Amino acid sequence: MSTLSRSISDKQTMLFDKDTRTLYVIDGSTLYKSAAEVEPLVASGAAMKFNKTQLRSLQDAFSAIVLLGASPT
Amino acid sequence: MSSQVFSLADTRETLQKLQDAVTTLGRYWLLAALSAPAYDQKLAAAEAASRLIDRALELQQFAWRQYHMTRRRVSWSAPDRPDTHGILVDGEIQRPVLVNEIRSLAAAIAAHCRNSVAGWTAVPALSPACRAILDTQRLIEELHSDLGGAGHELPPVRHGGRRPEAHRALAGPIRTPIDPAFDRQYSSLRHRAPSYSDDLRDALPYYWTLSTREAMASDSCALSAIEYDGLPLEFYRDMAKQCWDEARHAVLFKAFCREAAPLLLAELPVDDPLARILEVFLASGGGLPIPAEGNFYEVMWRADLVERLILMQIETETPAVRTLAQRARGALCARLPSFKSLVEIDRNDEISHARIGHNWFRYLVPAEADRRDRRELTALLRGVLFASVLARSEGVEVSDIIATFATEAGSAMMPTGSDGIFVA
Repeated sequence: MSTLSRSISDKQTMLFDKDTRTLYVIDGSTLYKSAAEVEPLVASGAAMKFNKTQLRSLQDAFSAIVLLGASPT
Repeated sequence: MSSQVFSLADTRETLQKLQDAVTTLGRYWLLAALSAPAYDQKLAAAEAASRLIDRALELQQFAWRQYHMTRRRVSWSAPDRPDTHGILVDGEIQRPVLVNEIRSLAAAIAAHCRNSVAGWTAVPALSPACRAILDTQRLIEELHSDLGGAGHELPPVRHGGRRPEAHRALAGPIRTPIDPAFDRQYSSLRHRAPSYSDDLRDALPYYWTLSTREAMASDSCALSAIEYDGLPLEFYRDMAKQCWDEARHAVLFKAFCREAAPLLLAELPVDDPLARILEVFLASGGGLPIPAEGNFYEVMWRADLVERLILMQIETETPAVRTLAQRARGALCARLPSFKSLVEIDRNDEISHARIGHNWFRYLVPAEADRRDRRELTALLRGVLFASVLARSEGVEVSDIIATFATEAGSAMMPTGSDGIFVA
């Protein structure tokens, strides 16, 4: 399986396509298994899609928030 | 000569039952650590868990050496699973139920030990098994003062079946309590948490914030050990050990703040907002400001086991070893010898935590190329996991937080300093 799927809040789930490094954030509690299932939801506005560059930016932005004694980046 | 007649199969069954029950009791104590309302209670529960799982591993190694018994992987048995037993209901630990279950299982283990030893003391050939059981009984009685009656029968040993692989067998509690010393006051999107410097004015707020983060590290280890089945007992031993270490750090760092607060108060102007915070803390034991998001425990709750190991033990604790060595050579350690001891023991423990992380990461992901891939994936997902916590705290959707910060300007929107946390 080249995707990761899990709940990220009471109202949204995520699907991460490991091959393309693409994240989908989907409204609702359904867990999807493939990007092909989710792409139509992006078109209808029920899901948002983020590419690797965007995820890197998010990673950089939140590197300021630390889990323990120091930031990992 | 009838006293010399015994069944080796029964002996093995008795030892396996005991090992399984002590492991389960250790995992119940980890649930107690996760749900402890204050950090000193978390510490006591984590210590009990660690000592019990150490004991279970000693029993397993003894039974393997002495009686050629298989070293089984750990898994919840159906009657003991906390999520079907009223202990874990809708993502929350029911502490009164848990306390009763701990007492009941401890009583059952103690009775099992007594009954086994009573039947075996006249059998010299079984004296090694008797010794192992008596050592276990002593620990159970030391950790549980009011065991009362005989307790229920321990469940029978499960035989056969497939060897379980590591998997998330249940979902632990989605939230854990923060010690009453701390007060969730500021958003991490608007204020940066305090950073360390050798100036006590920076070090104290940093160390009280770190106390809550250490509690989160303790919780993360407890969570992995209660959620995941199918790993060798050594994994649970390591998680319980680290859970205990981190809970100890949380308590010690909070105690350091109490000890050093009068020193800092003497240096601060009377109208300094930090002075007011310290006065309240010294008078009431509470009011220390921490992020509104708490200690980001939910990041770990939403991560899988490999991601937890990468985020905490590998990406955070491994580099911390060097940082703490530098800190131990700094001016504040020279000024406060007790603080230097604290930094040194922290560094000592971080070395073992880094080793734990790397060992189990290699176990779970044996191929080096796959490990590189998992680290890259986890780095990409780190922001998403944080976004899920921030979204709940801000009362918005996770996708809104990601869309706002997953841009070139995202980093520039984050706070650069902790100014404004300490308001009058």
